[in-house]
Amino acid sequence: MTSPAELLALAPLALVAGLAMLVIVVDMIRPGRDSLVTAVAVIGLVAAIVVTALVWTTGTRELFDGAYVRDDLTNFLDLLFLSIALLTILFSPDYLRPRALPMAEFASTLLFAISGAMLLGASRDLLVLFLGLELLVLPGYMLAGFAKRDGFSTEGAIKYFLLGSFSSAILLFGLALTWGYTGSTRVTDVASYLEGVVAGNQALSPALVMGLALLTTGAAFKIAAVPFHYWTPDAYQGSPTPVTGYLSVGPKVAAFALILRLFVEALSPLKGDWVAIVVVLAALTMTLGNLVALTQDNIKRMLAYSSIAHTGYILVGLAAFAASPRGSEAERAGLFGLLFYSLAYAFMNLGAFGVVAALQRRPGVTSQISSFSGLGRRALGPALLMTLFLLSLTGIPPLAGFFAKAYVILPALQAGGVWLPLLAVIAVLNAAAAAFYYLRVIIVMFVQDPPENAAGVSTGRAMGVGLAATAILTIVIGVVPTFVDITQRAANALLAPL
Amino acid sequence: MNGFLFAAETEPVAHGGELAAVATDQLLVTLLLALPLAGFALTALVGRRLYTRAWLIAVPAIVAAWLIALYLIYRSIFAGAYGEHGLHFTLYEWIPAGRFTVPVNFAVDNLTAVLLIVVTTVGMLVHVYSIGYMAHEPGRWRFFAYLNLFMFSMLLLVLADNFLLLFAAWELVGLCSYLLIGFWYTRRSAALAAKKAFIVNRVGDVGFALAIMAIWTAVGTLNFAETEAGPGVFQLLPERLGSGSFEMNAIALLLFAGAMGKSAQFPLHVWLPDAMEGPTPVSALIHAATMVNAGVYMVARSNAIFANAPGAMFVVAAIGIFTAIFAASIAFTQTDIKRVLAYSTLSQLGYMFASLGVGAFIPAIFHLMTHGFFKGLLFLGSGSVIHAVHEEQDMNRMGGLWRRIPWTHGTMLVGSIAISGIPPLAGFFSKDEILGESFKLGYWWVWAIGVVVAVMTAFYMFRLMGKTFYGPSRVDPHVEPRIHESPPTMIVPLVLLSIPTIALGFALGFPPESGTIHHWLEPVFHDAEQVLHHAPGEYQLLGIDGFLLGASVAVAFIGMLAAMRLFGFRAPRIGVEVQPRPRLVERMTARFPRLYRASLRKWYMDDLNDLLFVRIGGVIAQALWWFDVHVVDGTVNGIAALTQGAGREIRHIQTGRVQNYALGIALGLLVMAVTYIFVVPT
Repeated sequence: MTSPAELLALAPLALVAGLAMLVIVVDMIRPGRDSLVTAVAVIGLVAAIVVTALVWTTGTRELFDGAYVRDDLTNFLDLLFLSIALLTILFSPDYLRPRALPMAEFASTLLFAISGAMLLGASRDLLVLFLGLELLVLPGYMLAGFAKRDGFSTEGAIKYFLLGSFSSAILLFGLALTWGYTGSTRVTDVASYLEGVVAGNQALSPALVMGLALLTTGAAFKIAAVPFHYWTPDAYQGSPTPVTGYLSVGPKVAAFALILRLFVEALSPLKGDWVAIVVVLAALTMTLGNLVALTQDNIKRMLAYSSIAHTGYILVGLAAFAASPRGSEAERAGLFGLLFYSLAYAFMNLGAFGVVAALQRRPGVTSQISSFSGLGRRALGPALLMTLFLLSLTGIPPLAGFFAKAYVILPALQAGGVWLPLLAVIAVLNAAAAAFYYLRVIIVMFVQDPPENAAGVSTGRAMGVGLAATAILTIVIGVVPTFVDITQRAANALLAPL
Repeated sequence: MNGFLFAAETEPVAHGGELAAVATDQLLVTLLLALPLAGFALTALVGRRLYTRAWLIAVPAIVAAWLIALYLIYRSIFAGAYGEHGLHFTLYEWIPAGRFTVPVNFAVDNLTAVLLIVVTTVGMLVHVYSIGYMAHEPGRWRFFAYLNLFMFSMLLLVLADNFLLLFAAWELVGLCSYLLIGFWYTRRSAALAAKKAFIVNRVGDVGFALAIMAIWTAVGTLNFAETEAGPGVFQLLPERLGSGSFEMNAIALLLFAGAMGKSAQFPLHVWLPDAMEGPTPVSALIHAATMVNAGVYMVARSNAIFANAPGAMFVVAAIGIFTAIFAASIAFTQTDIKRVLAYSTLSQLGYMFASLGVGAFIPAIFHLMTHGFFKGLLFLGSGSVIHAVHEEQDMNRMGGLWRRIPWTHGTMLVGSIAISGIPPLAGFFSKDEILGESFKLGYWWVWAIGVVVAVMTAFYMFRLMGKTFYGPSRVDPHVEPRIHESPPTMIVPLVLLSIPTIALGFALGFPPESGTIHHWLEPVFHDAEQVLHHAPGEYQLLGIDGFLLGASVAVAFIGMLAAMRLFGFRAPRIGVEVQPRPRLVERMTARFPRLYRASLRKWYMDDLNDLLFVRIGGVIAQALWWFDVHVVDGTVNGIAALTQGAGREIRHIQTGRVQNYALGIALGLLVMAVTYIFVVPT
């Protein structure tokens, strides 16, 4: 059956799931030792990153009759998910400890969620995809309500849970219809069946079209695309800040992984049919996210809307892929842009939330933008880091965010036609509008006077390491070739024949 | 220019040992760039804690880079390891975006190698010199950090193998120049000079950037040489656009606009004299020996474009030779020692462009090289003089210094003889080739003006020597007793720079027009010279060439002797001692008051710029400002108000009630389903 060599391909996933349980066991043996738990989780995650990098060198491998695949995309996503988990763990003690929130439960819940994301990124089967998705989002609901004595936290969590279940049901319906019509849950079988339909110029059954609509809606909810974004601002604002940081990148990147496996691999023969919807979703998402972000005075809510806008930019990459002819350079570039944007966005957004969490180490610091006033004079280090992340989110060269935007906008221009270049123009206009609210925070930090009773900002060691790593990544991702290289490999893996 | 992907595949190298050696060379090129960059980063991070030893990281980094460069120069020029077309390799894909890809790729051919000789050698000596010169400067760590960053940028500039990378380096050296001119940023004049340099350079850079866009639009690549992706710019452009076409000329002129900014050619020359506000080692390195040559290098590198753009070539020659005589006429009357040298630099750069413009590429690069060394020497010497008389730069408050600072005097005298074009020093060979080739290629007017400039050069240089070193002392009596020779870290670089100043011309330029330098650079410019129909004629020492050579030497001596007679000279070994004649100088200037004033006021260029851009431009800017505030801002603010209003309104969708959200999602699903049914043919 499954050989040891094949089991090696499962090692990263198994390691993370095991680590989640180990954290609970450690907490049972030595209860309340938060730093020990943090150390175990950090060491375990670093080990998982190393193992993933090593496993990457062994090439592509399919397991369980093709339901699980470890290709360049899986490895790329695994490294990204593990880094997100690692940074979240590093950012959390500073926030959780002063509020007497248990670290061990936080860490293990997060690790379970990440194992779900990793399963999702590697699955080539509709059911396994759904399994991974649920394993990802259920711990997410728990994390959102982690500060259970805080009314906002529980409110956000309940809303997230209700709407999340609603949309999961929609997605599951879509999967069921797809299976019922194509006769298989295997991504490869679905793709080849649809290939046949398209090649034979046959009409699609209305049931499958309904399925497509259900799948699109479900996926759009998971990535928080407009008009399915309602849950994000409430869930983001209510959650504890490190959780918000995680929610804004982890589930989002995982949902894009779902889209890659589902729409790019399974449904790509129908891409001419769904491209129009993606173009509209992308334009709506960017524009509405940025417009509403302009008026926010709570930084977590502002970043929530900004993350909606970034979803729109990532969708531009997907649209460029879908609008380009098969095998063209723009098709490849669109996928590359999507993946590169996800990579850059994960780190710069996580970094911004990290600084917010660092500020809130002292309980009582609200997440109003006014908390940042005069930060440049009170705490230069965090203020400079925040500036770096915000500039990158704005898209100022040579930071990661600039290259990310360039890599989704250029393929859209190259895809040709009318709509894609128009979408590129909308993206550029949106980027200009977004500069307003990002730069406003920088102005608040460096121009406004600090409030009279304002104290400085002290950060723990874990927070310092995490912020430094995020900042370095934000600077180097765009200019060091390794990142472009691995992203290109991941994009190529998607286009390889199944 | 075809048939090579990597140097490893070129003809002379085939076996494994050579392949490994080429791989090593690629690593060394990377290291050559990495060392100054690392030096910059480390000095910027920890330099402040090194106090007086801020040079401890920066200087060894450059010395190591110099040694690597020497090895690469040996491999390229002497061992011929890279073949005719040089070593080309790609470090990584920088911007991969569908069809638009820009790699980070480097090239080492003989042209780059020649530039490397100047950049790394002068750079290394200036670094050593700065240890002494900046010893009492509190911000020295900042200085060494910037200087290392400059070295990285300059090396990137000469190694870059595509236009975008070259442009990035071009802007980086501009940034370093800005930072170093404004090094003493608390001094208002320095801050203004830095801004002036930055802004004037932007004017040229607009042209350069447009040229790059035009090139990409025309041929879809920015690579100089052929790569896996296809042929390079220099092969494609003439094929696609055709020789002598309007587009070709336009691209060449836009490129030249960039070169005019960086190499300070008229009318974009105004920033360079003001740039002397920076510390003197900076003037020597950036504003004499290296960065200002970037324009010359860029035009020479693009020889395949210029050779096919005869109209642009004429403009290059005309602007070059005009700048040469224009700047020399200003150098006549300036009294600030560094400003005289700055105008002299302008004038010599003018020579180089004139040479490029007439199609004499090799003499231009030859002059770039010799000028880099002797002008670096002269600037460092002037720094030593300024150091000796306690930061005094006015030559009217110097005089008689030869006895007090003999090493500085000796080395500067060598530099002055070299720049004046007296054989057998370096300047003679390169300048003579420029003049001779111009005449023989039919540009007699370039030759005629060039000869006049040669007289003027010799004159103003020996005026500088006379006013600084000979005659009675006019030094401030308080400073007089404390005049001292500079420390060894400053004198040793001066002495070392005199060696190439004396010998380089003879070593590379003899016999004239077929010297070693021609063998080195022939492969680079061969194709361009073919296009221009240059037939290398026989060198006739007893014919036309002998006459031209005699004329250059004669005018150089005339200028030199005239200046010696007016401003004094002293050479006890050969029993010559001429006293200055200030009265005679006064009488002569009194006879041409207008000319004298015009030269002193730099032909009113600063006043003209002030009138055009500050006053008239100011009025226009005011009008535009009004338009901007009332019309543009009004529109923008209107849109912003509308946007914010829209944002506020849309916000109300977010009611906070989960039932509404669920309803919204359900409606969204409905719309989605209906759309799909309409869009997808079922």
